[in-house]
Amino acid sequence: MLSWAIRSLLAERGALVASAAGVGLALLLAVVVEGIFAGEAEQIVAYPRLAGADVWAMQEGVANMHMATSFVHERRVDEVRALPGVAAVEDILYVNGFLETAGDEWFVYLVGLRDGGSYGGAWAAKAGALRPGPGEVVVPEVIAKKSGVGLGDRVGVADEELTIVGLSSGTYSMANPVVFMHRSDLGVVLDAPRSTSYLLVQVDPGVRPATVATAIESAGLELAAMTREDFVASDRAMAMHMGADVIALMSGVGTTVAALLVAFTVYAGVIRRRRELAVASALGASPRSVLAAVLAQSVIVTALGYAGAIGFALLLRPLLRVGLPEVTVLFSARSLLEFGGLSLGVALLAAWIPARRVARLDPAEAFAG
Amino acid sequence: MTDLLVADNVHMTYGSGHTAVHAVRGVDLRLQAGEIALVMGPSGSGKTTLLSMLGGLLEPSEGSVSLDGADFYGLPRRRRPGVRARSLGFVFQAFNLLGALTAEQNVLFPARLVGRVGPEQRERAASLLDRVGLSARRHHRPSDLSGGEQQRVALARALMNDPAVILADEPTGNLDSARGQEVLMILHDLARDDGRGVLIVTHDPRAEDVSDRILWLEDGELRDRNASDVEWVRDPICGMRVDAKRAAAFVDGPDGRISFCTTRCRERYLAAPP
Repeated sequence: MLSWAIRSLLAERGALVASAAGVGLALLLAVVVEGIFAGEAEQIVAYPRLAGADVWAMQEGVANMHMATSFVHERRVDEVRALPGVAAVEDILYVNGFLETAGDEWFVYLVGLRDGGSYGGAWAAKAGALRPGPGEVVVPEVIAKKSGVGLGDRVGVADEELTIVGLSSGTYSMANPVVFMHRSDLGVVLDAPRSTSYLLVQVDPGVRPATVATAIESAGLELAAMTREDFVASDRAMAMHMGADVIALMSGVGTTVAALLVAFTVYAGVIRRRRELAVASALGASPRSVLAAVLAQSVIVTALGYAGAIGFALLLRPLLRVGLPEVTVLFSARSLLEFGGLSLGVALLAAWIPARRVARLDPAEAFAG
Repeated sequence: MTDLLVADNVHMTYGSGHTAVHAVRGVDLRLQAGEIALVMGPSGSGKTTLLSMLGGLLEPSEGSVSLDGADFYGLPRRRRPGVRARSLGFVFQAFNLLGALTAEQNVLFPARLVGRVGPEQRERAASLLDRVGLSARRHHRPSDLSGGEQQRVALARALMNDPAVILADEPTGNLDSARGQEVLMILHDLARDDGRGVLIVTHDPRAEDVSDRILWLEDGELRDRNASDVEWVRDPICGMRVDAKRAAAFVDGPDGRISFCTTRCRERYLAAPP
């Protein structure tokens, strides 16, 4: 029966391709939406992930950057630097704000950097400098491209006009692109002299970041401290809670639509082959073998559709990067496997219902002239 | 004579109460080895329902169906498909070959349902295809075969597991006159030469000539009926009634034209004239 089921499927190549394409398109939709969601979830915490700190120290009661402000006295920088296990400390000023570029207005993270720091700024440059000086700004290349601005152009932050000296890569997300400016310029905007926002701590080789975080919190400096992993997780959770619900909803809807399309395609395929299955039953195929044949056919169709969807999605990713640079698509092996499992489960369920009917025998099907 | 298939007071009722439809009412039927029985009757008389019940595809509302002495519907459900595959051969009006398989693979299909297919089964399939004159077409798919060829493949398939009983539902319904007579002739041989019991549900009056018994089903009730007396010519080899004007084959002899139901009978006649 199984060999017949496979031959039967392969004999109707057009129908097989159409069914696999139906399943594949449905899965592609879900995989891409989920990839965008996953990509945005990663990009939203790109700065705390990639700024170079092993430990983040900040005002007590603060545990993230998203929709948060932190102000600590700048003498804390030297005090933390003096703690055991601390290799280096960079401090940044930080606030949410707006960047004005040639008529566009962007909600951004504004990060103020000191001169001569070795980390805490942009980590990759598309063009120009990574760290701005006074009167200068480094903006994400995506913003520059979408706004039609480039190196040397002037942009606005609050009431300040700054000159673009660098276009950074990997610093854009739909929720919070990161713009780097000189600390003195951001200090003017914030009007908070001798204050700093976050301390980005690097630890000595062999020292556990968690140990240093505990040491900072225990030093009586009225600072909160978290390892990078904990800080990133906390920031991501806040961002997801605040703004990613819509994307999560879209992802859920996309997955549901995909599941329904997979179910419909597989169901329709079984219904189309019902006559032959009824004949096989009439000739003496057991209900179990008919069911196995139908499920095998459904698994093959779904597997082909899944493979096609994954292949196409991987091909699509570089094209999206060029065509929609503001969108970050991330396919994780785990989510792809989850989609495989989901689609297989849905396909088996969709096949099970008509297959059980066929397996119970409908003599009229076999005897129909 | 051995009763191969016995229906005892078989009823089939669809629905219940005021909306109940009695498709088959109290049918008693005995099919013996070597016998060909026809079930005829108007459309909607319950022929297909009766055939489905006799074929183990539809459990009667009441009564029993015995195959080779064993109550079929008394068997556990999981055992029924295997018994059906071994004891019954089906021939359908629409041939119902599996489109993805070649003629040979279609013939082998019932063997796969009851066990492994080895050299012995392949040899038998080849022999059956040879018997129905389709050795040369064994690697063709159904879509490459004519209707008559497809029905002959279906006949070979029905014989694959050497069943004692052949159930045929309008086996000539989709065939022209000559191909229809050819199929009837093969069914005739299955009873006469092999000793199988053959039950044919048909509207085709030509089938009356190969039959031993005609059962008339009307309003779900079955009764015997004599073959109508029509002035047709007889095939001198198989004895089948043949419409002389539409005969598939003939030989012009000194005493006039002799008509045959198929070229097969004509070849037999020419090989050994009576």
